[in-house]
Amino acid sequence: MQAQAPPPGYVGADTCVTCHDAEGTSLSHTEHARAVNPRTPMAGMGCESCHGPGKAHVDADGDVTKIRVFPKMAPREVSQVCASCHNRSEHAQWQGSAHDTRNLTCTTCHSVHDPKSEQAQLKKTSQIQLCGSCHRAQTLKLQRTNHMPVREGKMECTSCHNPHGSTNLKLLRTGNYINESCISCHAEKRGPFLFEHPPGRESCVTCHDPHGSTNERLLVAKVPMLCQRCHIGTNHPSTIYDNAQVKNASVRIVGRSCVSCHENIHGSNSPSGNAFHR
Amino acid sequence: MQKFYYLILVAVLLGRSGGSVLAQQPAAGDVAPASGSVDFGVRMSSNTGDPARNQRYRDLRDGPTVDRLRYTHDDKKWVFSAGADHLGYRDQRYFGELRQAGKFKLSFEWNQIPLFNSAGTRTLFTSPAPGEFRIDDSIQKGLEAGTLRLADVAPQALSFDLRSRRDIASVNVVVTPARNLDLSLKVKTTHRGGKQQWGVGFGFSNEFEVPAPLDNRSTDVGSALEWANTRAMVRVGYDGSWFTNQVESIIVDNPLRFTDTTSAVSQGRMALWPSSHSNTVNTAGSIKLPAHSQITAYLSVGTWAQNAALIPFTVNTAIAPIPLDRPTAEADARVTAMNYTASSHPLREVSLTARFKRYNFDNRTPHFAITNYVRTDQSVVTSLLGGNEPLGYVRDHFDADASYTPKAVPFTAFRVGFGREEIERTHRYVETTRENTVRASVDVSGNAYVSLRTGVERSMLKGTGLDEEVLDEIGEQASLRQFDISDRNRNRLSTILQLTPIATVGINLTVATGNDHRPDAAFGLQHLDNRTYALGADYVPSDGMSFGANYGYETYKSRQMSRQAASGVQFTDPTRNWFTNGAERVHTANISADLLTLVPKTELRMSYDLSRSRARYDYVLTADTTLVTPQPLPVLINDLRHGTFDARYRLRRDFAIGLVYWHDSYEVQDFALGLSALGRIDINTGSLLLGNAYLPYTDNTFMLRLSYLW
Repeated sequence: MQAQAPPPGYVGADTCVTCHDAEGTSLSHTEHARAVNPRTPMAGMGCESCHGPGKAHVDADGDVTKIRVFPKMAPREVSQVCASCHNRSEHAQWQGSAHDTRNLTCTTCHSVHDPKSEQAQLKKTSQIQLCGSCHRAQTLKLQRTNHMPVREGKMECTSCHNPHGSTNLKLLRTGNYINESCISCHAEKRGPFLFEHPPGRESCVTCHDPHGSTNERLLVAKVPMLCQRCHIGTNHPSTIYDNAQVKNASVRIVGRSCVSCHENIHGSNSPSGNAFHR
Repeated sequence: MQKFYYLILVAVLLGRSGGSVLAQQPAAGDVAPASGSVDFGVRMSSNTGDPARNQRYRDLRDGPTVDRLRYTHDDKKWVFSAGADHLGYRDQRYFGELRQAGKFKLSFEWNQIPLFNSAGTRTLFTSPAPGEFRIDDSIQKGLEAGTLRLADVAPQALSFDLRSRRDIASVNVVVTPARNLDLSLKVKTTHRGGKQQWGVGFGFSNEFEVPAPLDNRSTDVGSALEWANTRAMVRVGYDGSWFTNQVESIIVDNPLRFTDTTSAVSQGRMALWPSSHSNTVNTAGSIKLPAHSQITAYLSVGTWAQNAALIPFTVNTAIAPIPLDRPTAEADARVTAMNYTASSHPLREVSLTARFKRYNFDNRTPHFAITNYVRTDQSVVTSLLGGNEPLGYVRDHFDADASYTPKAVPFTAFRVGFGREEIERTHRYVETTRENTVRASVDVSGNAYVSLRTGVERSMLKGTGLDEEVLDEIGEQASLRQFDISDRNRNRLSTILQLTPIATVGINLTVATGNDHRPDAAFGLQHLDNRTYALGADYVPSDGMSFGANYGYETYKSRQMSRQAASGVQFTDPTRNWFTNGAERVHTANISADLLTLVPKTELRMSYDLSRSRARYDYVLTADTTLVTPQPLPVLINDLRHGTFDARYRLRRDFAIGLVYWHDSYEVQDFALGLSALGRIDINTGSLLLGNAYLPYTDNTFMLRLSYLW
């Protein structure tokens, strides 16, 4: 694979695959082996781009202490090797990110030699399987009645999150604050509006759970109970809406409850919209 | 007859593909530059109950289907790949990529995401123009005169499907003119069309829903120039977004009134989403320093704006027009964000990280003066606040973490961390909140037998500057209670244990608990507790054989307090206090088996998922209550089941026939959204809804599938 003789300390990939044939074969099916791309390991020092100079390892009859063996390395040392190339774009914010500080590394999720997924060389066949192996509380919610179209294959975890680090909270991929991530799809709620609903302007997840909910519209609680967590004013906001009201088909609890009348709850552009009726 | 057509189609497809297989089979050992696969066949389904919910984001109609198509041509220098899913159906997707290794990359995607809300929706309204909803004059006159009731006219409602769809087209280009330089451009445009449930009220207890038109487009452009080598990275970028709504307001007849008066109205007008745009420039950079250290910085500056024409205060002809303070919204916010991260790994055992983040939403929308406004188009009301209050805030967040990995336990990191968030607001009841968080974790990773991630976190949120005067003016209890800004103590614990005692067996256990307590909350949300327990096991005896079983149990509990009171003496009467205790228990289970090598030439996959939820909201009164004992609300039931069976038999190396079966069922009892509540569109004497109810269903879907590889 190397046209020129390897520099001192290196042996070249041809020597590596004389013992590590299976690894060489598996690597040949991945982007890391595309030598025509000058950014790939194979365009550099081949196997030794990642595993380090191999001459001492070869000379010592395969002594594993004389070469980088990733499963035996500390997670952050693994990350440093990968980040020597993967330090831009998607990966620019890795160092100091939530996953980095929790002692995860690239090979926690990715496999260079034995990937299971169609894309991104993941260790599992799908993102839900991979992310769900730790984030169970979130993946359990995907099974709820109300959910984003993740189960249907129209979205995946990385539609919203960048597990390699981000400038947003919760490793959100887009924008610099939670709402900027949400409005990257729900742009109609961007505004600004003439009248703002403060908790909505501050954070969509005050009222919505994007991973799934048994409540309508991914709400964190059923309305009107959700609204009554803040609105304890005179008259109807602080009224008990019990089963008698259900039997009377009061629109304050039946149907979409508070939102039936306060329809523009995300913000109103009507001069009469201070209570989001218009 | 239809089934006969399917059989003929399958036979034709079988014959055609069979003929091409031999010609294209690569010789053993060759690596074919071009490869691809196609799954096609016919789909048939049966449905009882709601036909909409199971197809909420997909299209499962009967008929011939090309379910999956993939093609790749790779000559090492150039790679071309293309694919498609669900061709011709509402949830179809097409994508492609052309790549010159290390030089150029162009990708494209067309993705349709349907949203099927309801199949049995009904309305009396007609729509002569987008955004205009009319009721026959004779109905309005009859209802106003009392010669008709809504129940008399509701049967005339026409049925329609309430659905919408997102059509998303995106193009990404990355050019690499030099080894360390990337120039990228992303363009995404999304059209959303269809109908959306929308409510229009005409005073208390009168509620009318219409199928509001959705006809809007978002276009997002992102571009960046990025230079990076092994030690440093610099990036500058621009992001723009334009949202254009073709229907920015709706006008809706009041079915109960034909004539306008100063206390009632024949029609109402409501603002919909205004067209808006945002423009942001950003820059980022990172540099590696000695001692395995790195500094990363990011800064973005942008504007969000919309200047839609404002609708009048009312369309009630009996009310004298109220002049607008200005004709357009002139809404404008400057958004500035910055992130600085410093991390260091000075010793092999030690890692240090510090981050500072600022997000400034500087809302510069000018004050819009309002003396009087018109509530629900039918009553002139004095504005308590004298106009709008453009909310803005500045969030400062600081985090610092230190972790230590002792040599004695090489795969284990002990971490402690501290975080502080301070938020300054304009135009909110609480001016400032400060939240301090301490955390600790133990993470064992990289060990072949055990992976353990456990962490605890405690945070305390304190607010200052409660504006009691404003709360009093608008008739709200003057207490700090809005649950996103009220004083709060939060505790969280999470543990994830993964065991691999032998290479073929994996066991995982998750325990996560959290509780929020608001010790000073006189009203509103006081407690919020959640627990998640999950246990799973995988057995993979060999390549192509795997079994899995997972079970999750979640509980959510909340307690909130309110006071049922009119203004005056009731307002301060504690005997009118009441509590809502919310509780939800959810069981989630999954079993699966992949038997790809059990029977020769046959791949079998099967799985079953269950989500079972029971939720309740109980009202509790104080011992000395003066309130009437409330009638308990019924328990909410949500049971969702999904089973799959997928069999594939390889007739040849490159050709397979298969059968796919999906079973989906949903059981629901919802006092507010179920059939008992919304079975009629005239749910009471003054309301006319769309009948968009939560309904149970059972679906069985079969697909006869042929797979061809080349």
